[in-house]
Amino acid sequence: MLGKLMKYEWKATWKLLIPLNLFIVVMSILAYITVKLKFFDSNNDLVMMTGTLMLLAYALSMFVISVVTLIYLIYRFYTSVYGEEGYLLHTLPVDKHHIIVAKAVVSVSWIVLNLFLIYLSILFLISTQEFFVETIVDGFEFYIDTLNSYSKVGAFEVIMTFVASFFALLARVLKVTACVSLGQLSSNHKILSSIGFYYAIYIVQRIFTLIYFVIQSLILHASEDYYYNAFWGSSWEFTLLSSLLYCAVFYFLTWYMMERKLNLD
Amino acid sequence: MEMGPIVQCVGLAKTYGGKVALNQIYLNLERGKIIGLLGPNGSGKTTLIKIMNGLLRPTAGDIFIGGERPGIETKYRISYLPERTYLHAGMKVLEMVQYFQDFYPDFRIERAFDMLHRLQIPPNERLKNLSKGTKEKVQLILVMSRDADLYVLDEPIAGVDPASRDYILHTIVSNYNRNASVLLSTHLISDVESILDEVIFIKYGNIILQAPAEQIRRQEGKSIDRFFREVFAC
Repeated sequence: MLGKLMKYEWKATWKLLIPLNLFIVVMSILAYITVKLKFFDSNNDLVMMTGTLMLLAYALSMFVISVVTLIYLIYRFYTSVYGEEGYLLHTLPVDKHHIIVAKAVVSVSWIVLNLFLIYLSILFLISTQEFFVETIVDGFEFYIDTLNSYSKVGAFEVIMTFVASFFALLARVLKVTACVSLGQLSSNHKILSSIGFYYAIYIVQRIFTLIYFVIQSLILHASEDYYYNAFWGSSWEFTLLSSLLYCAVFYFLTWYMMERKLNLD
Repeated sequence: MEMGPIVQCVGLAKTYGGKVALNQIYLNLERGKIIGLLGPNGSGKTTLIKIMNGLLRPTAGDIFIGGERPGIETKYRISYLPERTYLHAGMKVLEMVQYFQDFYPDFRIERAFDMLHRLQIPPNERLKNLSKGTKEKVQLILVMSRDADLYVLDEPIAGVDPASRDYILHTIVSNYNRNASVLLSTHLISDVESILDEVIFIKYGNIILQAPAEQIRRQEGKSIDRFFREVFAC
């Protein structure tokens, strides 16, 4: 049943999200042409203004598309699980675990695709300017050299940083599903209540992070690997461990609310 | 053939805040019957139906569908029509038919197409382009195309024109097997009275009457519609 749930989740979401992501590609090509042909350096005012507006529209569209994607995925979760479509979803003979996994996998996939396209688009645009490319490459080399002067940074650390980032993203998605689910405890102000839970959890997470770093800095300060740990150890290890913990907590909260506390109005 | 009641409520209660929606009800629904769940607005009909389908959690008591508490197994057995539109508006009628076929092993696709054809509902039309009444017909067709043990229909004819009501009621009567039951909640009693085997009156969350339809007509000397109006007179 998990495969079927995912199939229908894709079908329900791609009608909006495929055009949105295609729009990123179109805007990137237009922005690339604008930069490559140096529209904004033109002596013709009209051409210069068009070029400037084009780049402005490009920057704005990248921002708007990423925000719309996130809002749509939250809206989709809310309406399909706790809105009218929830009447169908919760009367299907499927496990609640499958519902959560299907929604989380599809949401994470869309966000990853969206971020990937935006990063790619920015790199694509930057590649037109040699100065930027040189600055970025030099900056990255300096960063790696600095880290290596304290301790070795290899492929393992880089891979683990990506793994940690993935789980951090999954934890954020599950945090939203948990908050929307917890918001259903309120009889009249479900959306406000969900936002309230989101900020309450956010504060708890910040306090948890602060405590961790205070303890860690006290323990590691005398250590020879202090700088190594401060840069890489602190980032991927803590991100991975805390994200795994958050994933487990938020997943359980979402499941518990769906399985034990479901009350569709 | 399975024996025992298809639905059993044991001290089932539901409160919203301080408001009682179901007041410790005890109820058995037998197999092979069309049962009318009748009561005015706010009497607890929809609450009871939602609990049967696992959409609400009871505050106290228990409910068993074919001997099991609401869960995945009972969802295979119940075919539920809610009182609202629950279909994804962007999907086509055909896609909804495929959706039901994908998730319910007891779904009979040829039966669904036959009913769509009879009611002249185009399968390639998107649900958002259909009228409210036609959407309700599509939902009813989907629900009645299953070979379920229990059909739970919450206000199935409220939104459709009187001309279609007869066809829908005929659809209900002719599409359930002898061992299955139909629980039909409505306030349009005169329209459904002729097909009911049994009647349940619910008032302020209490079951105040459960009896065979024919017995009520004989004992009271009047139609169920008439009797209902007397019992629930304001």
